[in-house]
Amino acid sequence: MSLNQSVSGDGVRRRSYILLRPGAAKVLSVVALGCLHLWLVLSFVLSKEFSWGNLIASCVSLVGMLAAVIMFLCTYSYVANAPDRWIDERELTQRNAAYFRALQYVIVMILFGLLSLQVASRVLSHPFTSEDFTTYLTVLFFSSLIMPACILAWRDQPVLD
Amino acid sequence: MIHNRIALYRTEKGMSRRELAERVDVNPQTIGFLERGTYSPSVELALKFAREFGVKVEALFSLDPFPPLADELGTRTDPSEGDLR
Repeated sequence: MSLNQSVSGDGVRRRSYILLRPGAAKVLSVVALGCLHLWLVLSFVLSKEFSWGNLIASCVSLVGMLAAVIMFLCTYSYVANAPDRWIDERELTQRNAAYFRALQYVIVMILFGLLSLQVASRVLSHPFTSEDFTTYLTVLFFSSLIMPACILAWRDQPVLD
Repeated sequence: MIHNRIALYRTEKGMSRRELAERVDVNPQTIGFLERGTYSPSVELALKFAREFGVKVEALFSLDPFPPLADELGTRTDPSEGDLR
């Protein structure tokens, strides 16, 4: 791969994404992932009938999804999803490492997330419904979608000059 | 780990990280990572830096830490010895 052809025009492409400072991206990633996972727990624990708890859970899910969408549109997602020739070799290395961590998260989420929900349903005598499974899949989808960008944001270091 | 003198040569040439990044076609942050020694470049990128600064790649990158410049200057007595870098 020739670097001469790799990142030329990079600035123009990056400008079409939301430029977030590392600090803001870190906060956004915590909000997105935190709210999505909190929604998973709340929707499982709370009863399906209308209650203030359910309303709060819905608000938490909305905040989580909105934060995830913003995270998906920021420059860290550009690095996470751009073709190889659009980013430089360091970004490519970091991206590979980020995707490896994201894969680990997905494996843990599938294995232990699903397992712990099944165990919790037995302990709490709460049936694990298809609605719970849909919520679980939604959380898994959104969080794995933004996970590489979140990892990149947490590992980012600002340009000094 | 590979040690480098990118910061030294860049400062000497009066270039900002952004300018150097544009010249070697990388992200400006990559220059920061290289200067801090937290990233080791590929052979291609190392050669690009050497070409940009007009020096041999060995003058710019080393497997061993570079001696302090003051020490190197102190050992040179003959100004006709050439490039001190």
